[in-house]
Amino acid sequence: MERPLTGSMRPDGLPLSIKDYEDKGGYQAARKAVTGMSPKEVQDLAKDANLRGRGGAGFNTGMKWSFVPMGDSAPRPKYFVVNADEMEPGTFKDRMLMEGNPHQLIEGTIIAAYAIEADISYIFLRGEYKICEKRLAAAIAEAYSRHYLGKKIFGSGYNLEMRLHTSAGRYICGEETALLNSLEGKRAIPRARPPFPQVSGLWGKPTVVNNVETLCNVPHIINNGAEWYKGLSRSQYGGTKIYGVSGRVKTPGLWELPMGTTIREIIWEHARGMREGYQFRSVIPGGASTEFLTEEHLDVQMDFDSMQKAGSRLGTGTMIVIDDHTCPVGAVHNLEQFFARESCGWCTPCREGLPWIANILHAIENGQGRPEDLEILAQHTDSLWLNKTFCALAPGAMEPLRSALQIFREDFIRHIKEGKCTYGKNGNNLH
Amino acid sequence: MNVRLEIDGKEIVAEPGMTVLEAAGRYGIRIPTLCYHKALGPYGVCRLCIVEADGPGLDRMVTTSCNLKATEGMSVETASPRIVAFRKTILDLLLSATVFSHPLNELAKAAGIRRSSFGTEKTDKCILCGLCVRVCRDSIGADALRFETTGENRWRVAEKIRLLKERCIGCGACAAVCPVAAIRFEDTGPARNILVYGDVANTLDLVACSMCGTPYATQASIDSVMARIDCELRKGIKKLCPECSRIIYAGALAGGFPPDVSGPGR
Ligand SMILES: Cc1cc2nc3c(=O)[nH]c(=O)nc-3n(C[C@H](O)[C@H](O)[C@H](O)COP(=O)(O)O)c2cc1C
Ligand code: SF4
Ligand code: SF4
Ligand code: FES
Repeated sequence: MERPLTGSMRPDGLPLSIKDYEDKGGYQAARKAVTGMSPKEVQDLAKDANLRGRGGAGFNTGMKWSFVPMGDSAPRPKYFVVNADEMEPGTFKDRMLMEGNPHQLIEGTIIAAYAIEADISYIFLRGEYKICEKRLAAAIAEAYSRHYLGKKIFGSGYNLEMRLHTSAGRYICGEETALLNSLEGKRAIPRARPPFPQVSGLWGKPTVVNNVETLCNVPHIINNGAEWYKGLSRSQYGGTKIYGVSGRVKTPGLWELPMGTTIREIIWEHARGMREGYQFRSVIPGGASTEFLTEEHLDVQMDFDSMQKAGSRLGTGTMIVIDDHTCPVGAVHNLEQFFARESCGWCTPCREGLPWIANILHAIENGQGRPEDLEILAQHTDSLWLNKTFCALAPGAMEPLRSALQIFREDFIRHIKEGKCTYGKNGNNLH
Repeated sequence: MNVRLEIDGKEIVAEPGMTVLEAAGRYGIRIPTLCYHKALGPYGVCRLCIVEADGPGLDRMVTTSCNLKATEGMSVETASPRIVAFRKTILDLLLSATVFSHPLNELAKAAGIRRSSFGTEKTDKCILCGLCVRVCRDSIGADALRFETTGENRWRVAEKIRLLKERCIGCGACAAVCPVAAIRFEDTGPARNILVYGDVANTLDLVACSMCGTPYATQASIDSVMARIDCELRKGIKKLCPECSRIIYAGALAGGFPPDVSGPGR
């Protein structure tokens, strides 16, 4: 099984140096693209490979690039931004990619930036990712010293600067337009669309924002072509996916597997199943803002369409497993508390609604819930839905709640009826 | 090219670039808003102006009308049952946060809400619609109002509004746009108080009208207007209170031009 993104990483967890990386074929793709392909050819290749964004929404990457105004009349400078904010609960795939092979991300960014003729690139990095910060800063310096960044890179006429920016740390900074505000030194609030960032983004100039994992795929597509890339996958979407599992499984972790691997395989073959004494009960498949799935969905393939058909989303592809000893009410309360705290406070339903949801869940968990609370919660899951709020944070927050109210209905009712949590002390956490 | 659409079953012709909210307003269809002001444009934060829009590529989308462009063939419902229910929830939430606001209570009552179903523990003084901040910054140019956060909620956009005394010119625009009267001004003889959430946040001296002597505006706000007017025009402008200028200009229109103003002046 091919693992283009992680196969060349060192087993000891140290990063590949620029020499190691180049010995394994690194920077060949960037050289090939920048000196031998037109930006349009790079865009088309990404489209043909059917590369879809790994940041959560799954938009076709080549398509996204193609909306940028090109040529001499395009506004300048154009920007390329790497979204390395990774604050989705349960998600730690980008961190592994950056820690293990920072040059792979830099190379992918050079190619993607070239595809839109960007002048300046930024890596917007989660503030707590100190190891990534150190390794990326060192790798960027190495790339500059070999003229892979800066003026006339690879001896071509193309110039690209790269800057590393560490976030001051809020979940909303990962939303691409809030990220742009934050980069501009403004408060991280989302922007209205249209205009889309591809037309008017950072400082009003054309800008593309892509996720770390998305970009790490790009060099391999350039090197090996669209057909090879599609062949890696078990679904119609190209490539491999970094899947992750956390929760009470035997070996939590991350694996690079063909896109479209089933939930069952990931949990039982790769994470080696549940820990002794614990039963599988449910799973949030793609980070905290996706809907719970249960036993009946274990054979669903983890890809964009299959997950949607099953009533959830691929999201970030990193799952949180809920076992039979974990109180689902407590788990959902934990998540909603996170979202309520991270609401940027910009629009009414999210700012005022999420704290209420968290309060109500807190009350239910502590045995002070009222029968009508379930109705109020259900009403909120509807009023915080898509487009009713300014950005996708609140709808994302409603996905686990909405499904929990159905799947774990009996647990909610029991908490309210018996006036206590029946899972005991141990049940209130996700560890 | 003009755009044809349907709002609440009515045929509407909108100019290109118009929003659904503007187009509806033209035909007397009122969509409730809290954060919209025509001098400032859409903002999209209160979410009260939500409507249901159908048509090419829309698929009965529920979204805010203040920033939704009117497009050919669109069909919009401004008060379908689910829209009415959503607005009610928004008002309910706002009411629970700002129980003491009279205008908000009125709005809520009109929507059929007597008491907030979400409790009344929060005692916010305003609904954080941002209109005052925007009018002061974008229209007046004084930039004297800020969203502010405190304590452990430092990352939020806002918990309250703060007035920066040294920047405030006392024009009163903030009070004029605030939908819930959380900012007001009071003229007490020779001085103007700007009240934010009921507390005096700034006091400025008022300039007297050159005709009747009534104090009517702050020097800084007069300066700010003057600075934006062409030099030639500036010469003809006298310091008049609204009442005197009405009398003078009405007289001038009836009789002759230019108006001759010779009052006690300053
Ligand atoms: C509240 C919120 C948080 C987000 N956080 C992240 C994040 O941490 N990292 C990320 O890559 N995308 C995040 N996204 C998605 C981005 O807005 C954007 O879709 C993504 O970066 C696009 O990259 P892609 O096309 O390569 O997937 C977030 C979206 C929302 C609404
Ligand atoms: S949905 Fe929440 S996070 Fe998004 S703009 Fe509104 S308040 Fe901010
Ligand atoms: S003071 Fe009034 S205008 Fe300003 S944000 Fe609050 S409610 Fe809006
Ligand atoms: S008026 Fe449209 S969101 Fe406030």
